[in-house]
Amino acid sequence: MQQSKPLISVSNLQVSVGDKPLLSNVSFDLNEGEMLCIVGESGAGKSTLVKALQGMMPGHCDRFTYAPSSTEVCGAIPAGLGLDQARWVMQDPLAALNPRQPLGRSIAESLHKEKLPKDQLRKRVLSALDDVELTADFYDRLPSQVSLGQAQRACLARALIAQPKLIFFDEPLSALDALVQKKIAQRMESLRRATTTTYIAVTHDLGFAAAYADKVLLLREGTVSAYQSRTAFFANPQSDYAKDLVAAAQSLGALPEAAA
Amino acid sequence: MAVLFGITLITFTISYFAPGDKAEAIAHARYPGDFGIAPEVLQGIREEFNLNAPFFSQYTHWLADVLRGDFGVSYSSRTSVWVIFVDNLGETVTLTLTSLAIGLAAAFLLSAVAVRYPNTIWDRGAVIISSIGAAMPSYWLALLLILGVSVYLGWLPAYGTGTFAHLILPAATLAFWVMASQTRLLRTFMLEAYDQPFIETLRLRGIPEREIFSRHVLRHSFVPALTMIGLDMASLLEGAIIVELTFSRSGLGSLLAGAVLSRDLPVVMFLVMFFATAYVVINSVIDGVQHLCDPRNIKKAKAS
Amino acid sequence: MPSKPMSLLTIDALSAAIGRQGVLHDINLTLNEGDWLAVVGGSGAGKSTLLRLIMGLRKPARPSAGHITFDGQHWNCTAHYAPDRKRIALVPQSPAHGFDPLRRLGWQWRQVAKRKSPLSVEEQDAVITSLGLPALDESYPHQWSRGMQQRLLLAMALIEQPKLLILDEPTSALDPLVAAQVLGEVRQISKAQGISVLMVTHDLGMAAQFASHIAVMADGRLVETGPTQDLLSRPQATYTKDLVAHRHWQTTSEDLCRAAE
Repeated sequence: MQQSKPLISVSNLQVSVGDKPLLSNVSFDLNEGEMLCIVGESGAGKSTLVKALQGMMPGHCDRFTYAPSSTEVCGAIPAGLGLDQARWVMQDPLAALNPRQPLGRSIAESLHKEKLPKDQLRKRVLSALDDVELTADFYDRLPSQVSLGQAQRACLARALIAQPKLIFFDEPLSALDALVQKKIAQRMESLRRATTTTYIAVTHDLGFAAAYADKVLLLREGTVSAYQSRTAFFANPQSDYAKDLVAAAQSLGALPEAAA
Repeated sequence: MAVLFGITLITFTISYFAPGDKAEAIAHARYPGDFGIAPEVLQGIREEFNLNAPFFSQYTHWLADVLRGDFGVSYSSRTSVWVIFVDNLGETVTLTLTSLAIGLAAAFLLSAVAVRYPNTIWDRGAVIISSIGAAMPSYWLALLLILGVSVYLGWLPAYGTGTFAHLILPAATLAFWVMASQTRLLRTFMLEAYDQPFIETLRLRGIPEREIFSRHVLRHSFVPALTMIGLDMASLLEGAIIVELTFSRSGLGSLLAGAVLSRDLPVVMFLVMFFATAYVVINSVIDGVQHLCDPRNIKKAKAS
Repeated sequence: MPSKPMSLLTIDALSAAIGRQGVLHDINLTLNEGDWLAVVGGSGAGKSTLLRLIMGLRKPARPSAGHITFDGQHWNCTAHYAPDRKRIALVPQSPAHGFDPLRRLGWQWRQVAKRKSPLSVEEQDAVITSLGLPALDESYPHQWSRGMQQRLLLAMALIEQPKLLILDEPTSALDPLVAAQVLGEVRQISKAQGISVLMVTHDLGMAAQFASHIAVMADGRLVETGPTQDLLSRPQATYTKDLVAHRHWQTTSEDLCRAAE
């Protein structure tokens, strides 16, 4: 059931700083509406990968295409590339939000390029808040006045309000408690299905990947240890390292019994 | 290395473009008195000092001399710049080191107390004192001290050099400034060290607070503190100049001031270069020490 | 005939406050010998505060009422007590929480061993080897892999010969491979040596895999306790029900629909 052209595709991405290779030979492609989970230990290169795709780290590839802006790059990825219609949600919501600004303003900032009239903007923000299950009075609250889970929802609203084609998540749930994690993950998933947005999520949590990913890319020390569809990855991991990881996650109760 | 080279170039360029006719300056220094100088004399001086040659030629000649250790001869006193420098160096070094020692010791005590009793009067007091000290111009404090201690109380001499007593007030002035700027920093570094996650575990293991401070927090504050001290060096040297002037102490500060006023270019250039070079060298040394001190720089030896 | 379980740790009516803000309210908890008790709750639930009070720290939360009984010893929390922390050992969350990066491993080992270990040096070294770790030479923490560091932290706890091992959020800061390894070791050792375990975590799913008993906390109060299976199959309180329902990641769209209601 292949779509005609993937939304984003990368072929043989390398990232080196000085003579130290951070990533080598990373390839993947992703269709619209799918979710790719990039998993691995800390330091494996997950964040480096998504930063390189945005031109925030010096990357070099054979081919990199991104459909929404018809970008095609061969060779060095230009610095500050900044993919069109793409948004980020980061790990620490309090670091991502201006502490002096009410949440409503922060969310509205995402649309500042569109230069909407005030009342229309407000309506869009309220609608975005509603999408993430925050009530209207959160519009005026400061980040310090809300819980981490609520702040992260606000960041999610900020990403979604622009109706992007692609959202990058960098460990969006790890700062949160287990219960809050699961509720927000559900929200992310139902929103993804409703709007057919594409997600690329960096996470070290295999349980999350097992529940929501379409494809899994496992990085180990800068190289790809496994790149499979979700069902294949959890039923039959490609590498020994992947097998160990899945077994460990299972023993920790991170994978639902009815996994894959 | 490139920095040092740049320093020489910049110093020379500035003095080259300094306003005023150099030949005249030299002449006036040689033949003191308020009369005009005959053009032949000026011409002679120009030839003597190679002042007619193009910029680069003068620069390379000068640089070659410098690298050989020949820093020229003072316009005013006709003695070798190097000799003058060495004579005055000792005084300044004494002043600087004494102030640094006292100031750092005071800063350390103050910040240790502030951290031990956070948000109490000690903590707030320490911050207030260091803020005042940072805002206060050193010559103001110097004058205040002179007025209070020397004039009213008559305890210590107000100016001059020579004995230990002469050192006290100037050193105290500078030390106060050092203490002011370093206390805030040290306090911040110590607080940051306390914020590290393993500190709580040490407490849970039953390690007494005293030991946590002396054996862990101190180490973690040491390296950043060193960096800041190095960066402060430039201001310290500048402060030393001002203090020397205010207290009429002999030393590089008053030497520099005198040379600027009498347009004694070789001396000025040398001192400017010296201060800049000293700053670069000190900071490089500190960088190196830092790198050595932090064990996290040791490459991973064990395999996973 | 099953013998009556021996109570190892009993917490009676413990309340504590930071300044005037109450953080623990009337906690009553029992841990019997051989139990693995998981204290589960979100952030702000009070589980870390509880941990600190058990270990004897009276900062920042000061106890306002209650008693703690451990291994026959009785502590009145409000009186100025400096509890004997012997026989309770803590395994910190991660190497960053457990080690000073500027000190050699050997030095840090001795710091603990000298103070708290009744074992001889040979016996201590045996603990190190039993966990598959090399001898502590001049290395600094960052020179060992995270897994090795965490196992060393476990060893540092074990040389105290504890009756109760406390695990502080074992899955929060470690990746799955390391966490699984360490928890596996703890399970093995606790069975073999009869060490009881108290585990603090926010992950009910993980707790269910390892703990024999679970205590659910929220807002400084104990919501519900009981044997793991009982709690999972018949949760009484609403909060517990919510926790149990969400302990796994939802996978099917039916789950999504149900959750949306």
